[in-house]
Amino acid sequence: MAKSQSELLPGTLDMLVLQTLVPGSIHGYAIAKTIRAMSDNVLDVEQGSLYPALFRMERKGWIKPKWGKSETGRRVKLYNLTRAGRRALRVQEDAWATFVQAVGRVMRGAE
Amino acid sequence: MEIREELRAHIDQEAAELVDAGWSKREARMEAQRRFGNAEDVYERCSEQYLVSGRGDVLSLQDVRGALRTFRTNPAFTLASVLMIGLGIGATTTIFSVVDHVLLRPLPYPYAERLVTFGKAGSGMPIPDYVDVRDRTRSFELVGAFWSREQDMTGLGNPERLNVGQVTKAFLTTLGAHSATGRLFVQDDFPPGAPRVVALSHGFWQRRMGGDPSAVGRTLTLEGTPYEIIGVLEGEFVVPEALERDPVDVWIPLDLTTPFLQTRNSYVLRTAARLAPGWTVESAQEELDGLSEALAAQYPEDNRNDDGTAVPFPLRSLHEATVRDFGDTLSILMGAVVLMLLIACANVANLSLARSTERSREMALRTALGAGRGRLLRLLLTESVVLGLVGGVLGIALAVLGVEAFAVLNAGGIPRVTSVDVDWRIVSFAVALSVFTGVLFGLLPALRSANSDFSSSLKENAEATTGTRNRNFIREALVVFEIALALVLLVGAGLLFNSFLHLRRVDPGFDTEHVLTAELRFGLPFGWGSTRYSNVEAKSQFTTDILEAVRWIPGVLSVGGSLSSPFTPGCCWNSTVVRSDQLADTVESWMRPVTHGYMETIGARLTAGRSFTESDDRGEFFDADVTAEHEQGERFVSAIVNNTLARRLWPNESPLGAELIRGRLRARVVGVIEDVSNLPLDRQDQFDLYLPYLRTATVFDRLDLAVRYRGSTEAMAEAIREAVWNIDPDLPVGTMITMDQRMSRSMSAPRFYSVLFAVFATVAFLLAASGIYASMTYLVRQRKRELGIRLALGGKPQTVLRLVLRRGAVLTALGILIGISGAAALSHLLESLLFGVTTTDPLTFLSVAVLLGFVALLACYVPSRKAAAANPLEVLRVE
Repeated sequence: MAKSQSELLPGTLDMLVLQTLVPGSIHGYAIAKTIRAMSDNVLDVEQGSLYPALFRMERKGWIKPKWGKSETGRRVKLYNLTRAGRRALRVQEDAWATFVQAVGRVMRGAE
Repeated sequence: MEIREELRAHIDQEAAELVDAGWSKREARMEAQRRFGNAEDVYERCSEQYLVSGRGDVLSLQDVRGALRTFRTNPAFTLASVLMIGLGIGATTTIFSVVDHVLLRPLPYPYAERLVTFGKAGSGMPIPDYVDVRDRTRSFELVGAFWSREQDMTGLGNPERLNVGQVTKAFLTTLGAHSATGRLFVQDDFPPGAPRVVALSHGFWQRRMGGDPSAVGRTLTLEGTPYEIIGVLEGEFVVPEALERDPVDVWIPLDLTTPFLQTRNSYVLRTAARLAPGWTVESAQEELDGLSEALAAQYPEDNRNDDGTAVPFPLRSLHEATVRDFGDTLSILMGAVVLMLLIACANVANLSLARSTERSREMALRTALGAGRGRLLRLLLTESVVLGLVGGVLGIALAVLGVEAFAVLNAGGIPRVTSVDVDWRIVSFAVALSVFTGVLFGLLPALRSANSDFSSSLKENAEATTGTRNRNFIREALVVFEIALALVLLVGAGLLFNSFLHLRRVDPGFDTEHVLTAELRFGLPFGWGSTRYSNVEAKSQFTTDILEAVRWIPGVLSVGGSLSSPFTPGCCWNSTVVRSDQLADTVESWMRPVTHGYMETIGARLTAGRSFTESDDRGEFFDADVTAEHEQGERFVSAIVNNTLARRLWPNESPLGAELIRGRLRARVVGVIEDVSNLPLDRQDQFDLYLPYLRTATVFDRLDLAVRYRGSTEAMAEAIREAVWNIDPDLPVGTMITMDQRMSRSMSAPRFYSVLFAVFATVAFLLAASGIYASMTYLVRQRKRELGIRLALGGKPQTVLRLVLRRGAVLTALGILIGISGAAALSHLLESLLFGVTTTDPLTFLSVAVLLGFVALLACYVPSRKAAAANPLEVLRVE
């Protein structure tokens, strides 16, 4: 399996996926492409993790799937954020911000 | 498979983009797949998400969906289980339907629990006695009487013989009958001079008048007398089966003041009464007993027995009179189907156990992901209940068919069967049964799975031997259980079948081949209302004429008449007879009036003396009302006794020439015959007293002809009909059947039960056999590795064979042993259904045990043979 530039910290995958769902319906392949594109190719989602994560979040009630058509007319499974998902995204965002700040403080302090 | 579709879409899209970027199609696809990684792995990890459910519901929808998915991926298991459960539930539901409708439900009348019926000394009520009960008791709120007779109808197109019900006004009220159109009877319809009115049954109205709404007001003619149609009964009304088994076509008022019916020894009326509030059957019976005592004092000739006791008026609830002794039979049938269902459950449990080994990895994963024991148990039970429900649906469908078949085929004579159908009550029973069944067969494997130690299962190629060994014990126990149950059912079927065979082999005591019987009904009893046969002389003349006429038909070898043909119960009466020189020694014997020529015609076997001649039939008619003088000679009626009666009354001497007394009738024995089966074949050793028909029976309105003939049956029947119509063109001739057919029909109930039981037993047997086969196959496969090693190390195939076979033989023997003891303990329940066979008939037990043992061993042999024939290298390589 080709490893990409950075490994995602565990837990952040969910957050990123949820974020890509904010604008609206999107299917699995597009999610991966979006994350890659928006991070300027820094973050490349491991395919093996993406779909299990999607199913996990579906089970938790954060996202809701619906079968539909992709831009090219292909039959794909589209995902939408639920209200619970939006809440989860906010919670994770806050946690991430706190985490980043804390790490930053430690690093600055060490210099 | 949605997951796969989604993953594939992802790969397709990646490939498409690469193609756009200039890659060749093939290489694009390969690259896309490579980038995606191990798709199978991803798929599995996605599926795992479904395994872990955080919710603590008892029955979560997700579990159900999961169950359905598991079934889809295991079609063989699902199909087999659904079929077996469906069969078991279908059979159980069918029998339960019958039990429910026949035994449990109240009769379809208002205040059904207070409805009763009474008669006189086990027969119908004479009019004067009925009037006394109606007027001189307080225990009944309503009392009604009913009498039916076949009459010829004309005036509505084709003439037809109808079953006409004559009723008092209160009868229809007691049963809550209403009119669908028009009206029912009012008081003014009953006086003797009143205009004749008739009410139609719903069925007749539909059938003969097409449901014509303007039927009311039209006329139909019964036996030459016009009746105005005043109304139609509603469709839901049915005559109680205890009072009348044939459907009643039309109803007319019963005139209780009819002359000729005012004697207290014409037992014609059937009654239906409603107990007054506060009265029970017991208390009402007491009151009736008091009345019968009073009547015995007032009318000693008719209401007092020869021993001085009062002739009783037995009272029974209408429900009990309808159901009679079918409760036991139905309970037995219910027991049989429950056994069958248990075997099916055991089979499915076995299959589930087999599957649980395959699923151990999944179970281990779930445990690792946090599912507790309770959770696993719930999950597995959900699966089995869903399976049970699916089987239940099939079962309900089968039950609908089964109930139909039962009603159509009902040769067991079970009452109320035509109204049996599968309604919501039955369906809810079936659903509850399905759920219960699901829990029953799922519990054992579920407990087994939930309690297993799974840590070893997660390793690849693990054998989880400890878990397997325990599971094996359960499987083997199930196999033994199945064999035992199948044995019980097979023994039951064997006993019933044996009994039926015995019945068929009973010697009816006469020659039943080439004898045609015809039922003639002429005039009304005691000549009421009829023109042609209003007196005894007219009927005697007719009887003599018809016997003569038929005798002259070409092909007729001999002809005779009787009051009722053999194998028909219920239309003759029995009475107390004594020897004229031993008045204290009373015997209850059947009275059987027959004409001269009858004994020869049916081929009865004379063991002493002679049969009746024409002169026996001549002479004064002996009516019960006529006082006979104690004289010799012509005042005596000749009599023939059967062997059983002869042995009873004259154990050490010949009865020829001896005198018998019955009531006021004096008879001298002129002959003795071997017992003839006048009742159905299972009622042997009856006391029969044959009297000359023309001197004792012409008060009645029936004559059954027996004709021994040569040649075509059809032609003979035609000829007999013609002979009758030559004498009286208006006399209807009932159906003519041969004596052989009569005998066969009298056995229809035992035949029905033995067939039914045989069906259940066969299904159970097949289930058990397939269960054994599956178990053995599994056991063999389990030990394949071990077997392969043995073979590779030079062990002979036979040794391996013997190992497996021995295990199977032990299980089979154990099962048979348990089964035999169970069967021996339970078989006494069948006692009432058996004839000529003891409930512990050794031949039956032995043959069944041998049969089952043989098939079981065969079911072991085949898989083990396959195992022995396996190539040891192959076996080892798979590992």
